[in-house]
Amino acid sequence: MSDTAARPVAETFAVRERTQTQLVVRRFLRHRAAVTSLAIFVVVVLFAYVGPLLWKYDYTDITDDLSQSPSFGHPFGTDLIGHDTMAQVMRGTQQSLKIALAIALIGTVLGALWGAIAGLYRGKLDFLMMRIVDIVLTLPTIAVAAAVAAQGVGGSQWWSIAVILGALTWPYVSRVVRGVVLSLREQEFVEAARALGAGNARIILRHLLPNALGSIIVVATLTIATGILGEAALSFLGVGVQAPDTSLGLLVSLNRDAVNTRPWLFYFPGLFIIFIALTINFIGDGLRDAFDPKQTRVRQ
Amino acid sequence: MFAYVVRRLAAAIPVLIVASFLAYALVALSGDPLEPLKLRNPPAPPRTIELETQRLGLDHNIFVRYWDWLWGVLHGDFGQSVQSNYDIGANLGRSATVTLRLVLVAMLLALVLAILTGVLSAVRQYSRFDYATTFAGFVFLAMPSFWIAIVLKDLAVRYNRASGTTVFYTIGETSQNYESMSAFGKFGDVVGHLVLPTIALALISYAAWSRYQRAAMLEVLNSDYVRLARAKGLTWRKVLVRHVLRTALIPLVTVTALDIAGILGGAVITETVFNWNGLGRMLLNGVARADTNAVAAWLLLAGLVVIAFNVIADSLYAVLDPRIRHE
Repeated sequence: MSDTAARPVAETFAVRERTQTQLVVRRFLRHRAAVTSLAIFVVVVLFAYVGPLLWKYDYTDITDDLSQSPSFGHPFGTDLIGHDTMAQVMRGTQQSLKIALAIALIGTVLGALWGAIAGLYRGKLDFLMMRIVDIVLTLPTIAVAAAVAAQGVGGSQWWSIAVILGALTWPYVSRVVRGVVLSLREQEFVEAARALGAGNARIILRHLLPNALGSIIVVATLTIATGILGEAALSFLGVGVQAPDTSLGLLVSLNRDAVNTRPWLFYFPGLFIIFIALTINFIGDGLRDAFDPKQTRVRQ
Repeated sequence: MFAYVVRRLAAAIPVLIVASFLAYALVALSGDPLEPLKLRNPPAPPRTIELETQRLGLDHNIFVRYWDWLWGVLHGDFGQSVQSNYDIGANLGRSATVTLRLVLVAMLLALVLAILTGVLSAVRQYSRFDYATTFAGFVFLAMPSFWIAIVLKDLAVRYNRASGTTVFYTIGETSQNYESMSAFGKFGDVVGHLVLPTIALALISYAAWSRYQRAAMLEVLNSDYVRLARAKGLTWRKVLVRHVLRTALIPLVTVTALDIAGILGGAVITETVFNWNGLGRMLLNGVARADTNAVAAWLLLAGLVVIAFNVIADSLYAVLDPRIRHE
């Protein structure tokens, strides 16, 4: 107490100046579920990318232990021909994460630009661009993706799946971004930029998109979760990642008949899909709250 | 209202035509249906390949092919399939009745559960019920639909085995001896086979929709006109049903209509798990054979269903919100 009293009044009651980023980070750190999820997600990423360097088996290794239930030597057990399931789940998580991130990247960049252009120009161009969005949204993503992926376009590489799903994801992002841009474009700073002679490209890239960044980051995060589920669904239908490579969706799919006899083959990769999607959704939720300036310490 | 619906449907026609052209071109350009024939060992005679090319119209360019296909569809002829003796139109009709049954029942179940959960968890915000359903919702949202389906199927198989009876049907959309059943038996058989796939398909939509319903309820509950209604002495029940729920249903209608395409995709996966012979199998069969006419017809039907639900949603706005009147 005496310490506080000794300080000048102005310093005691002054509120420390904080940047926008600091505020966002502080609000995010108060969201307990989101922070826990972020920690779990980091562990999963480390498991997928650092794990294979430390683990004694490679996902292609065939051991002498056939169809073993989880044990100290094989924490996730082994399959019918002796693959170590943990090594396979590591590789599968790697591939699934890579594909999901690529889907989110493609979908977000395309969608943000599309939405920002439509929202800024409005009028006929907006109408036309949004009808194109409607057209893509009319078709079930999984059906279209399966139809294209089944023909082995791009040799069924991981990136071909990412491109196909990314090309079907951007309409969702563009709708969100357009909505934000429609309200941003009416604000004074856009008018000021225009008065200073800024062109449309500059206004979109330097003013509108950075100000819409909060919404874009949130929707991008959620796109990762739908991406990982999309990849899993495609691989389940047999038109996603192809053996000898693997992914979490493919592992679940290949082992669906083992659910009763060798459940570890089915449940471990499935649990990883759920963990990833669950933590990402919580992180997205935390980011949404963190970026919302109306958010106060006290919840109404 | 009737004029509005007609106008909306008319406006949807260009969207549907462009979407079906895109779908047609995508499938036609990404695969060659004659590849198995060409790679066959011993090789197929050139005459066979030539005849197949002509039968499927592959010697024309994509615009001519699409136009011929569309013209045929409008006259009830869905064109030639890669599989000989495969009637695309008849198969589409039969599969659609099987699958739409699943989709509609699952949607209804998801909606009822979502509204109930949403209302209860908003009214009792931060209660144990609220936390439990919120967490369960997040978990369901994170589950791949085929994973839920496989786990449910496994549980049902275990239960059947343990009890020595067939309480849950896990394979197919009807029993083998369906044709010989009485009308009442047929109904029971269909319902019995619907139970598990419906739950599997409904859970994911339920998770998302209950979140939306909760958020919408909270927003309305904190609004001034609800406070006014209470202040004027209306009973809590009346306020909740007539003022809060009615308004809070509007966002849910929007989300439901937006999710239709996703639910159709989910049905494809659920059907695969439960070995149904519906739209899912038809799509995957067509896709595996690069059967452009069949896949395009499938996607056209999906587009029609999506647009129909959007028109229904728009009409529902007018019912729920008296300020919206479609003159």
